Amino acid sequence: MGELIVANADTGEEMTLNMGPQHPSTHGVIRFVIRTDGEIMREAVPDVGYLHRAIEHIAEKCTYEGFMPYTDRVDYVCAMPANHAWALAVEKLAGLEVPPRAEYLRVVTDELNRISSHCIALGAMAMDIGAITPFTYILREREYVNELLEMICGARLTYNYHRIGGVGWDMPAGWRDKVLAWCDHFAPVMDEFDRLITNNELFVRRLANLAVIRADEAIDYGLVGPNLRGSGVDFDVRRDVPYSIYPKLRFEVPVGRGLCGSVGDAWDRYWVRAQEWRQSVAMVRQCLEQIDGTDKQFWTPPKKLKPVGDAMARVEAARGDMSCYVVGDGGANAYRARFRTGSFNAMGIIRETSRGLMIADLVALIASLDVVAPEIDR
Amino acid sequence: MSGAAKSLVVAALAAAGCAAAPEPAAIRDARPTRLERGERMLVEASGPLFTVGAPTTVALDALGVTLPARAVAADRVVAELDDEHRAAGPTTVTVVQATRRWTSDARTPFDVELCAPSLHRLANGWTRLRGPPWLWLALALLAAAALVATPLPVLAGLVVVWERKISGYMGSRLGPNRVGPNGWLQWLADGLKLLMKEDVIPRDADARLFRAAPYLAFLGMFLTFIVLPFSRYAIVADLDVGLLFLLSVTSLVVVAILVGGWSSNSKWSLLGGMRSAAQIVSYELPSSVALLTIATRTGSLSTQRIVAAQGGWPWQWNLFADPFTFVAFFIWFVSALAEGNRTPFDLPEAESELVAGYNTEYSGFRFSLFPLVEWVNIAVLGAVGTLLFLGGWRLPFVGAALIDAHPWLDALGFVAFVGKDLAIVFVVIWIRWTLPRFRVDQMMALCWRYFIPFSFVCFVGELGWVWLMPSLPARIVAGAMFAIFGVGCGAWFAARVRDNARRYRDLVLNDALGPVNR
Repeated sequence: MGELIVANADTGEEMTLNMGPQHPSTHGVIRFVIRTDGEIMREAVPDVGYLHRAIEHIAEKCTYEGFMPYTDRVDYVCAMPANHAWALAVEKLAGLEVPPRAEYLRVVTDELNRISSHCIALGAMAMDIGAITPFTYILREREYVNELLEMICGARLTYNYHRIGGVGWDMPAGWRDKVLAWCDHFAPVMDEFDRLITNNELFVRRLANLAVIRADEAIDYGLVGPNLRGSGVDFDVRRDVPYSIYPKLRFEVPVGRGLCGSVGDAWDRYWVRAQEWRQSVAMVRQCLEQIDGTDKQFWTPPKKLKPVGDAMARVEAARGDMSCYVVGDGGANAYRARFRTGSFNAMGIIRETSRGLMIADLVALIASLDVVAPEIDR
Repeated sequence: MSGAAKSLVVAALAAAGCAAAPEPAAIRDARPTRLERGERMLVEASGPLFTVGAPTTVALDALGVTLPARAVAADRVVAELDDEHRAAGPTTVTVVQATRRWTSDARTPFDVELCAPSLHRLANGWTRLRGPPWLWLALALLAAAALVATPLPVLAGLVVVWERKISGYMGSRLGPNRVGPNGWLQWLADGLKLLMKEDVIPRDADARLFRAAPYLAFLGMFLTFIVLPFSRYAIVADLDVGLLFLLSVTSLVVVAILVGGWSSNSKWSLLGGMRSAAQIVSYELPSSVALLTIATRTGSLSTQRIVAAQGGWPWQWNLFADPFTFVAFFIWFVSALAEGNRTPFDLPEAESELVAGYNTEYSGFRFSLFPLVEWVNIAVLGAVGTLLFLGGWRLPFVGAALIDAHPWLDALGFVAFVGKDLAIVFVVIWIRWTLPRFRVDQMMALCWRYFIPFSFVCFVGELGWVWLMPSLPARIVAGAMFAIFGVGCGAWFAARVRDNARRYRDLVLNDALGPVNR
């Protein structure tokens, strides 16, 4: 960082800009050092670490069950899959069985949370491009999802809902109907959102052919989730490394097709997320149909949880493959825990992709990668 | 001018309207010394003799003719020479008659050629009061300044609240609803809050320019109100160069933005200022040429004459006058959006890219002037669109003669003007809360590749139309344009809006979950 600033200070042609952490588009916790020639960027260098809270270290200091609330903070926009990843990893490590009802509830909450996370991603992206109304519009839908999740677990953002060996609570009376009613309501909203912003002429012009990430580049840089699929790579942990009850669900994996520009442009990454909404809604519906036949038991609390060995769990979070690696040494705490998250890798590709873009496009690039600061730094 | 005739014109003057017999007075100056057709001759007397605005006659002794003249000040009359009475040599001028129309006092201390008749009446009425004339002059000027300046923050405030309410409804929110009746005094609270903030000037800023920039912006916006004809009488000055004046003073705003952006010594401000300069300078071209189209049609740059050339009915508006003015309207409208830094051209203050653009470093009252200017500029934009394309204050059945006979009818014209203005303001706000933002290169390409060529096509096409098109077919075309674009497209558009509004309402209701706000 320092050398970059010193090397290019006052050379006359180029300007060094400090973007963030106090910048409206970096959400207070991300920083970029940008070398620009007027409006055209030479390079944007991400500077991570502003939201580092040593969550993985905290895992070594508290019990396996006690760490669950901390996993909410790994990605506070989409906390359920992080819960899920930790529960899955510890269950693998300890060889625990999870009641089927809990599996269904986990997937329902995961997918609802994915929808709300994509609401933020797409709405914020529209706002970064300058359209403010879609953001408020889609945040209203997120509000409904928050309501539903609050009904089931009492929290709106950091849920602490999954447990090792199940979930914390069964769904309350009438919750299933409410979720289904919301799914019916959300279907036309997605079409409306497409009419409002996805296919908006100005929006498409801003994003098509912008910051194209080729498939091989995406793989090389370790992109995951919608960012990877936006580049045309057909990979989804839910389908290709199945866990929980995903094998029982029918769903498609949307892959970027370059409908408006070329495969892997910013619009494709946006579009993949918009399609994932639809798939998530379909999965929620299927889960709620299948959950009726299951046993009432939703949690088998483990006794004497002092596992030995190591285990790795992969889940598909809203920002892609979230892997949790945990090592147990026979104590009540994990010996070592580690989260592998999508946003960190996404930050890694920004320096390469930003070359030659305009300043306004950097904002679009960051938004299209949907990086979330706690997930970068943990 | 050709010829050699020149000399001081000497004449005898008679103060008209006085009960006494015409009595000669010394002429101090009469310009120009040689008069061409259509040229104005100014005759200046040594003392106050005339009634402002009253018709007089000027007798040219050398030619033996009398010309109609107009008193522009107590000691000045202006006469206009026609073709046959061109002065060829030294001429003697006599003012033989002047009739008083509006007031009984000839000693009017104002040099008020710029004022509308209503202001003359007002001013002349005041001078009947006792006291030194300069005192009344000063008071009248202060009152006029207060009259014009006070509504501006109010206007900006109301536009702000309106915009926030519209944006609230569009974004399924409530908008301001706490301060005052239904939130309509929110602008007062905001303004007071900004006034109480500390006025921070960055340490390395160019303090003098930094302080001056907001006032420059305010000036550029403020001056436009001189030529805006809100009604037949409610105009400060009907300048002959009204449109040119309008274009010139609005350019001051870009100077202010550039100065503000540069003097802040912040890179984000600088980028915003540079963007703004490039944007406004570029878009002034198509917008000016689009205005020229109207000037060509009317044959005048005076705003009142442009309004007068249109009619009260929509098919008599310049908008539907012919295909070229119709296209010019849209070119002008989009360019005006860009000049006013409005979405989708709000790049100079793109908050997601440049923090706050050129006003990043401003705070308190200085900061508040920039949004004030921006929002009043929306109203000015609407006013210019109204007077150029939408018939201004003209109303069906209520002509200028009728308004002169019954001055209270002028209020109707004012209401019509403000109504049209607000309609345009609404569209501007609507656009802002619907569209994303252009990128710099796209914005410039739009201007230079499309708008500038098309605006010149409009201009040249309008020239040809005015010259070649006979009156009757032109009127038929205007009617057809109104039928197709005004009625047809208007109805289609309204149907689309209604359809979308209904869809939107259906989406908001969600009985299954109950209200979100518990």
